Amino acid sequence: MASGLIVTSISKSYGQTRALTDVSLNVQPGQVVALIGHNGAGKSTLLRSLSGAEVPDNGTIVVDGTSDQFHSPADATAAGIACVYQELSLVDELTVAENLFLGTERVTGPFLNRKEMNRRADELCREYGIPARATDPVGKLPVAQRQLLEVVRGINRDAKYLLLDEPTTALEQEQVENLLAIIRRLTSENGLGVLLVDHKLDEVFAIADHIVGLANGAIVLDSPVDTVDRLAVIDAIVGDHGSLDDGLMSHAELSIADLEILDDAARADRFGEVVLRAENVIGNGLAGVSLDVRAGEVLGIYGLIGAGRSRFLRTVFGAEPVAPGQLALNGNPYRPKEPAEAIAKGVAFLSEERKSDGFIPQMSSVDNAVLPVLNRFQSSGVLHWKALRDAARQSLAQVTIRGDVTNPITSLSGGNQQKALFARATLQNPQLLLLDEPTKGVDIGAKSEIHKIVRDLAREQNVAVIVVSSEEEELTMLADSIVVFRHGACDGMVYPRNGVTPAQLRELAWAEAKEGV
Amino acid sequence: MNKRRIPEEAGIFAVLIAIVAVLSVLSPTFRTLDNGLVLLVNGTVIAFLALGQAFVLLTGGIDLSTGANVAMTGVVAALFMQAGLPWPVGAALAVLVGTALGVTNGLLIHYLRIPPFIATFSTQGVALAIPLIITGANSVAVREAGFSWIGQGRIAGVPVPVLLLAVAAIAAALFLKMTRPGVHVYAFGGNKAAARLAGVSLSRTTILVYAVSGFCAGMGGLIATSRLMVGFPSTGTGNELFYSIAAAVVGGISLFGGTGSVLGAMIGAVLIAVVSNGMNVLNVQSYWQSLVIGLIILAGVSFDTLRRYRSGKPILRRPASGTGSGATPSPATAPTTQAQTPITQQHP
Repeated sequence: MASGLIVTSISKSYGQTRALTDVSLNVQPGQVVALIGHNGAGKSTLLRSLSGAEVPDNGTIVVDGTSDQFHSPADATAAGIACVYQELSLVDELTVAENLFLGTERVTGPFLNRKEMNRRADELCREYGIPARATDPVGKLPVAQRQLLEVVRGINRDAKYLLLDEPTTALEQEQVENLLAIIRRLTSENGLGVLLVDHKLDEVFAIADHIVGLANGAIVLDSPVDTVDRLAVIDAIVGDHGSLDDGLMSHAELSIADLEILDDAARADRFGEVVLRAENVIGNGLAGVSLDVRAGEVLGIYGLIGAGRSRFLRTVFGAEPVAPGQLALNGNPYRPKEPAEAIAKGVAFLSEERKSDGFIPQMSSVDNAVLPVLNRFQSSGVLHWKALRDAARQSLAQVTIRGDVTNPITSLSGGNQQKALFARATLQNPQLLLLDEPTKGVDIGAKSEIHKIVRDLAREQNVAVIVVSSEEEELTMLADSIVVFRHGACDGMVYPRNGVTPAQLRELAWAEAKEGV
Repeated sequence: MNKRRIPEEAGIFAVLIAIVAVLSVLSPTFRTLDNGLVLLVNGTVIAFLALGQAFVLLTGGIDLSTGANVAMTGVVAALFMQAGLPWPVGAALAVLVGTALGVTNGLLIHYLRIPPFIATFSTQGVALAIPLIITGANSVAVREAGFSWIGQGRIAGVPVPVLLLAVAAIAAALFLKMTRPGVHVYAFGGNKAAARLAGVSLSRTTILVYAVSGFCAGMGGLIATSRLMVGFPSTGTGNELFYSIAAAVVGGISLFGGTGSVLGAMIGAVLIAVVSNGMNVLNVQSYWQSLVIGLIILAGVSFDTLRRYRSGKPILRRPASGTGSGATPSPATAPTTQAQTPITQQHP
């Protein structure tokens, strides 16, 4: 009987999109396999297929010699696979013990055997160095302990294979080391097999036995950790495989070192005054963001998902707290406490999640567009709806919306909804426009129209624009200058859009911050 | 461009007309003008509560303290006048007390993040107890004869409480359509997270709607007390809360927030008053009233829920705040809503 979690050529498509193509993978007991890959490379789909949350179109998953078809997470659990996602699945209101035994409660007759569960939970906590007691409510524990608890829950269910989805993202350095130590112990002492998704190459090289790289849904690297170096890893996963025929093996090293950097003088020449300056913004998930953007400039922010890009925009917009002295608007200290305050100061924001915090679904496009500017169209408290509507119609006409703008905004297609929200932003006459993934989920046609709107705002109305995007091509097309976020930080190094390729951007996102590029 | 849309209230208005027609055929007493006025006067307290409740429901909240607030303000008004204050002063102060209870609700809900149901449930208990404690459960007679004008007076043959209600309802309707805070109420109820990012102040809006509800309850307390010229510590603590929520909901105010109008809530209040009065004049045992109105609420809420379900929104879940899965309204099937055309709403 072959031991190990052996995945053989699984594929998965969503409609026309191929998420996984012929992926094979082997995790042996006692081994840590690191799975790395770029945004959208297919890591999540692979993880979900292994944990039963997704059924692959074809291919096989064999666990210790038994071929399994996982139709639900319960199937995967029964086969001995435990998955710890980034969003924790613990119930905050229940105690540590109740969470550990949720669904597998120990009972005596019809009664819960709390004593036994609490004893075992305390034992597990001691064993894995979690300073919590069985009877503590989980909601009271810090994130690091909850993360460990989730791992322990997997072990408590006799998991033989543990899937960890970026477990260290939310942890401090010390806690990271603790977690890595526990993973090491689980593999060497308990003989668990671990599949670890991680963006931090330091951690990968510290703990993994084997590295598997995914790009565009296919395996591009599969090698023991001691036969491969960092540059080769980066080179493999950042793609650009089509143009690798230049024969440069250390492509990554050369390209990053050679990158042209836009200096301040050049930007001052081309654009207006600095509108927003961020200096070492720290806290609330950000670990030191420094950048500035000038009037008439489109500044692109690139980075991996979870690198703090959205968090930064929301901080500038007053939707997240910020410490004093870290932001300046037009040279004046800027510390918005509420989005309303940011709007009043001429900052506009387009959210990444249109549906959850972009628009009011019951309202028409017109009413959605005028919502932030109602105060400009009133006298002694009475709104001038005619003027409001006219202004809204005018700015909605500029973005050419297909559909009836007096119907609820939900009757429009995604692209047209987004354009309606752009109309809202232009109505605000902003001096600073913050765009979070402005073309997410819109069709190609609407996308180029949106790009034109953004460029016009910068060129003709001298608006300073910051645009966050996960699409490298979008940034190299749309932005004048590009900065890169890594692990919540940004060094303020500005790359001109003509001087950097999509592949180089990816390399920059993977480079360790301390190497200073 | 300006297509005529059938107002959302048309449906419930048609139901009202049908019920009135049936009752008029069944009972000669019902169709007299006098009975019409009695019916309206009897309905004013509930209508006032429904008016305030409408503001709260539009934000997706609920105010359970309004019935108790009626008792509290009524007794407080009577006590102020007993203490020698002229009746207009006593009445104004009592309404202020009612509004203060509403503001307290808003503060508890926004700053302490207590769910509206729990916060107003608790303040209801407090508001119930205050008049009982002050009076020792005794009623307080009002000797200021002028005070009776509020509940019993007439201007040009129209009862004053009905006029007060009409003025308040029109003011409320205009406020919701024609002012910035009014539009913010709809935005808040439609999608709280999006509203905040569009510059809506969540604190101000929350406090505003509960204050309005408290104010309306205070008006209800004055009318109830003035009609009897006695401050009863138990006025308004019967079915009033229940009936007023029923009125707002059958009038098309969504319990999920974001849709509905004052006009709808007022039609709903008249409907409840008609049903209750109709059953009285037909000599139906009063026990049946709650049952019938309970069924009316069920019908109204089912309709609202079904409508949301049809438009592809999750039932029993408000749009998620922050990122993650949110409301996913589907295009095309979304019903025309009140909120979308704030000024085109008609007052027939």
